[in-house]
Amino acid sequence: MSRAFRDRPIRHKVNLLIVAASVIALIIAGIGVVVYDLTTLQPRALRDLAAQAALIRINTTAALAFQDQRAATENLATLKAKREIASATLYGPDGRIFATYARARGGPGIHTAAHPPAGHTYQNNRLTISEPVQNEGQQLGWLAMEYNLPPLRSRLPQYGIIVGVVFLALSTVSLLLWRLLESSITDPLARLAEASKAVAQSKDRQVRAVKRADDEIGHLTDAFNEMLSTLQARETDLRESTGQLLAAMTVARMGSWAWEVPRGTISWSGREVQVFGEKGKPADATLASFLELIHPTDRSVVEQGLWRAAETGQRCELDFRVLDPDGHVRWLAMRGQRTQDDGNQPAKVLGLVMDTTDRRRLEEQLLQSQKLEAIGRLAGGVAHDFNNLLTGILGYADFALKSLPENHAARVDIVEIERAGTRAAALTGQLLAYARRQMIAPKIVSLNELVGNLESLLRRLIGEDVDLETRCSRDLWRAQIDPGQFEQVIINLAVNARDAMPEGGRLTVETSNCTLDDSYVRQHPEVVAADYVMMAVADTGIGMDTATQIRIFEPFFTTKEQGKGTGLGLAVCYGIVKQAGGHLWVYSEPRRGTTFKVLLPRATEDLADAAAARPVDHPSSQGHETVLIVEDEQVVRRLAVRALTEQGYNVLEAEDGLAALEVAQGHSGELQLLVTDVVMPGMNGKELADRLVAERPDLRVLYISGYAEHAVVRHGVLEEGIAFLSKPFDLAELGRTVREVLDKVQAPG
Amino acid sequence: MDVLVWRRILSRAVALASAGLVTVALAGSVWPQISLPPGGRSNESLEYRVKAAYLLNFTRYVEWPGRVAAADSALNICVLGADPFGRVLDLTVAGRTAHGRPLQVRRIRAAAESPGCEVVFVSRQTWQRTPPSLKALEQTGSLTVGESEEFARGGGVIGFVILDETVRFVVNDEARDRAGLRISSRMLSLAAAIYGRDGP
Repeated sequence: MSRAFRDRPIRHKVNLLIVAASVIALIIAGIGVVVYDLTTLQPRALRDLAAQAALIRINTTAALAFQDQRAATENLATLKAKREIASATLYGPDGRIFATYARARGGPGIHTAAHPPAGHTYQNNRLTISEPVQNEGQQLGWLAMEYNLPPLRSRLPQYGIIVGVVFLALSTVSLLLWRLLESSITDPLARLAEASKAVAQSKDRQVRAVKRADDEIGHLTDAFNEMLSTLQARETDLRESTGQLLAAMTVARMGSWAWEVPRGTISWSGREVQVFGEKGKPADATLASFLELIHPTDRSVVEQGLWRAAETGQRCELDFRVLDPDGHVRWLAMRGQRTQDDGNQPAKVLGLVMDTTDRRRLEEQLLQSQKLEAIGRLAGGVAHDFNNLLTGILGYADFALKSLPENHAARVDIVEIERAGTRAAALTGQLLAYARRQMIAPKIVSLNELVGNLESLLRRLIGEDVDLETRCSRDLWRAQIDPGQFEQVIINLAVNARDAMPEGGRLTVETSNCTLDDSYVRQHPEVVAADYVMMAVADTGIGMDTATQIRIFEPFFTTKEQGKGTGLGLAVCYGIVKQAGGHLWVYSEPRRGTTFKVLLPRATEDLADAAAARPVDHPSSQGHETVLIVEDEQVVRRLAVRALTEQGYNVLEAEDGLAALEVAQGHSGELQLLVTDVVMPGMNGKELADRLVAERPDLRVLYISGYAEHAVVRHGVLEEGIAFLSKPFDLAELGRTVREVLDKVQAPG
Repeated sequence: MDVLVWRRILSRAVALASAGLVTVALAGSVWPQISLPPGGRSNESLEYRVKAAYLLNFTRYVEWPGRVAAADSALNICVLGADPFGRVLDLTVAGRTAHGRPLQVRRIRAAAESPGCEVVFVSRQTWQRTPPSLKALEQTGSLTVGESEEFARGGGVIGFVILDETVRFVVNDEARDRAGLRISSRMLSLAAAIYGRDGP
């Protein structure tokens, strides 16, 4: 079947089929008719001729009998009505011609003198019949007749006309029938085709084809509609699951990507698109254009990783940086693998990508605080031992100075030893401050007040090239912190700012209230959602880059020239703020200045009475009471024994808790004061004090320690009513403190 | 010259030969000459040969519904009075049948003998000398045949006439009706004239 026919509309096909069937049927019928006509022509002609002959015989019997030639001729002339009969001849009983008839004048005839033999002959399309005429068994004569068979040629136009008329009639009838049937065959098909086209074009799956009958087309319509329903359901499911997946990926800050290795194109969606912005979403991104988006440092690693995944089929786990549309560095983690290559399928590497910037930042923050914690622990441990040593150095230098005459040459050297020791003690103190092991006495304070008190000091500190501006928020909440320590924080930050502005600038100190909510806490898990009091110290100096920002709170990290800074300033600030339960953050960009923000938890209690904390002035540190000194560090113990002995006290000593108990039991006289180290092997200072106080209720206790984390001091905060002296101390401080404890009015009860 | 042509020539020769033979055979027998040669004795004998043949033919085209006859009983042709036929009539009807009945020639002297006669021939001589009562003959239901137009006009059923030297006949339809006869229309169509009907 030709293509042209195959592509025609069904109605045309059916029309053509009907016409073709009609024509074929007509041709077969025509051939049948012609063949029938031709094959039955002779018998029919013979029958026809015989019937005519019989009629003529009967009608001419009487004429023959009465020899009426005229009547016989008239009888034969009636044959004129029969075209086919060419001639007729009636012979008398004597064999002579009695009467004749010829259709065509002078035409062929069989008027032979004698009649032909009985029967019929067929020759040259001419049928001849010859029969006797009898009456009552008497031979009356012969009848011979000739019949012209019509030639086929003369009949064909007739056949043609008949066939044509029948064909026209048949075509008309079949077309009429087709018009009637059309509505039940091609119309439903056309409607079905229209419906499917509508569905394909509009993507509207609500469309349904209308079923008109329960025939095959009706079943087809049902199947089509069912298919549409299935399609609709599938699409809905697919849309839902895709939407869910996309939503899930968005929530998880993920995206998907696929790299068609043979075609070299790479496509992505979701998180990456947000990260790359508009330039990151070309219509047909290639691997090269994708790599363009990646931070130059990580580009080759990503490219190698992708190719390795494509070639070996191994999983690729790539972490790289990109610059987002705002120019910020973001970290992406790309996970993918080559898809199963089934035969001709071109290889494809696909997977997910996650934005790990925030997680990385949190990890770095955690790492940073862990590092600072470890450094602090180390520093605290070192400072503890240092303090014992420095106590000895400073104490014995003090003895030496006291025992030497005023003009002794060695005095200058000893003073230098003492000065160096003092500096070392300050350093140790700072280390402890950073490590949050420093002894503090937090109070409810107003930051505005503290800033105000320091303003004149700060102006002197930062010099004339730098303007100072303070913006103190009204109705500022209270905070709880050791005032001296907070002053140190302000001073350290101001000094730092001054150093960042060698060519002058502006230093702004600002205070305000600040409430951190849950969403902020989610981004900064080290923070607790609460009300805070904030102090910001901002400069317009050289600023710093991210790498520097990460490290500035590390102790001994400094960007200043050798010898200009200890590297402990910001570390100490950090420790102080942390110890107060607050936060210290830095915001900076190169050449854009630096802002430090201190956040302290809001305190709800009233302001503390500053006067109550003022120490009582003691003009004399001399005494006569009996003092028990317990100290495992021999240098410190001997120093203390000697110092107190020289000041007139009756001094007992013990190297640890058990020895102290023995000494106390062995001493029958009065014992007014216990001076004990807190951290000792075996029994600690607190336990010892508790036991001795149980035996001697009037006994007073002075703790000494170089370390702020122990039974007496919790989290660096002194318990109420406890006397404490931190190492290293000088001899005057020891004498003064001992005198204070002994002189303090005993609280009633 | 092909076979067909030869065959045609041969078949024509055979036809001519057989036609000649038939002519010879019939010349002296039943078939009268179509036209009567003029004058003479032979003319007279030829005339009666034709009339005999006509009588035979009449029996075949006439029916006698009033008579009940056995199928095998003879159909009588009676010659009343003078007989001009001689042996011709006997020879003509010998062995012939009409309506399946054998034919018999009888000669009667008077009309009274006519019962039993289907055909009564009244010769010219008998008609001129002793004309029978045609009324009586009518009543017997016989077919009366005479030899003149007057015979038919006078009450006979059929009268022979000579026209253009050919033997023809005329029919009195009223007489036929009175005699209760039925004459085939084919025969009537050959009659030279019919009386007693509307028109000639």
